[in-house]
Amino acid sequence: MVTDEELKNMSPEEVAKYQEQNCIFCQIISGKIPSKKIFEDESVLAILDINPANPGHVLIMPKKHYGMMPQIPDAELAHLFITAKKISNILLNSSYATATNTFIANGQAAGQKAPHFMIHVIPRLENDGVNLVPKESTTTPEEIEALKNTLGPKIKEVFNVPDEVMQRFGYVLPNVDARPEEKSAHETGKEEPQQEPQQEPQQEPQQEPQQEPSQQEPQQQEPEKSDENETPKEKPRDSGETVPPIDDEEIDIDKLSNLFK
Amino acid sequence: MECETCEFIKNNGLKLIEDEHIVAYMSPRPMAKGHMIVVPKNHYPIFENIPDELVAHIFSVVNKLSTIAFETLGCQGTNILINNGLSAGQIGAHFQVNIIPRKENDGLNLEWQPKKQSEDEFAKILDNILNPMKTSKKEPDVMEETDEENYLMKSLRRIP
Repeated sequence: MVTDEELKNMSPEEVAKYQEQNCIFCQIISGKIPSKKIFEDESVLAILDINPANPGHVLIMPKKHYGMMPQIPDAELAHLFITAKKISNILLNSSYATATNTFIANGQAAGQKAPHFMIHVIPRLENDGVNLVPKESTTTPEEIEALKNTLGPKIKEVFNVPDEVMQRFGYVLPNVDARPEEKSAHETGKEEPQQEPQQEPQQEPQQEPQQEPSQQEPQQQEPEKSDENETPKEKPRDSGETVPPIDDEEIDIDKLSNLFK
Repeated sequence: MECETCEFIKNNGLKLIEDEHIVAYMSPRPMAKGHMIVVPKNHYPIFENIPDELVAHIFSVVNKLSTIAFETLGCQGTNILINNGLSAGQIGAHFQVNIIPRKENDGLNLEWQPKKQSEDEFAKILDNILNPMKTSKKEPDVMEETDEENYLMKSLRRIP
């Protein structure tokens, strides 16, 4: 065992190597620990969970050791989720599922048990006693609004969203003059977006270009729609292009069923 | 038939980000503070309907939003949850991915009770999953329920 102090002094490469050596799932991947394989290719392994929520519960994991989702490059993440989609389909075609849950726990607070990223695909049947839909929280519309604005600056940065689009989406960012009375009018509108959209702009006509959230203007939104779509798509489209085409052959279901004959 | 989600994403004040393929928004009925939802703009009822390229794009956005939740909401974890089909808790016939920020002792229960299974049972499950044709001959009545078209029709008729 390595002490915390020793761990602190290790290089990131040494830490990664040490994590791998001590990770049960890395040992399953290397074959040191036996597993019940459903599917395998050069970067992904899918096995039956030995502590299943339901019979046929599958774990899909990258062969490379990643602790959590934020560490995983887009191309690998794409391959993992395309594999999850296909495993889900395989389960739907078995007698174990009429539906599936795809579930990820990122971090111990979210219920992550082992520090190796994995996707759970859980087969579901009517009234099987598994409950993955918790009760709704007591978050108020005002809190939801505030949380959205807390996320705003980082979303703007990460997705490269222009100011005018941020305003059209109704964000109240710190650099925009957010007057409290205006904010509450805004929130009321949000709860029932279909209702009387003209109210707010009339109250504050001089603020219109800055503060008017387009979602309260159903009639006006239609013509705007095309350029609303133009602006933010740059970034996501880029990220889409970085994903290399994934060879469908790899996860052919027919092949799959032949694998273990 | 109108889809509630298709209508909702056209026009609402909870939108976080939008491009030509997807919309992300704050859940109007959050399971936890900061609960976000990512949906494809096209009406795809379930995971299996979504083309691979769109799966790639959706989860690239999900990963970014989940990371943003860590950085800005002070959460200590996130759950990513897809309820794919009625018996999995899907509400409305429009595929969606939930991003649920988590904190220690937040009272949210997303755990399950593990079922005990013998090695024989595991071997049988593995065989049944990898050889679905054989299973269908053995248990034709159960297979009928998982018939995809039947299932989809059921999803589409579902009133939210």
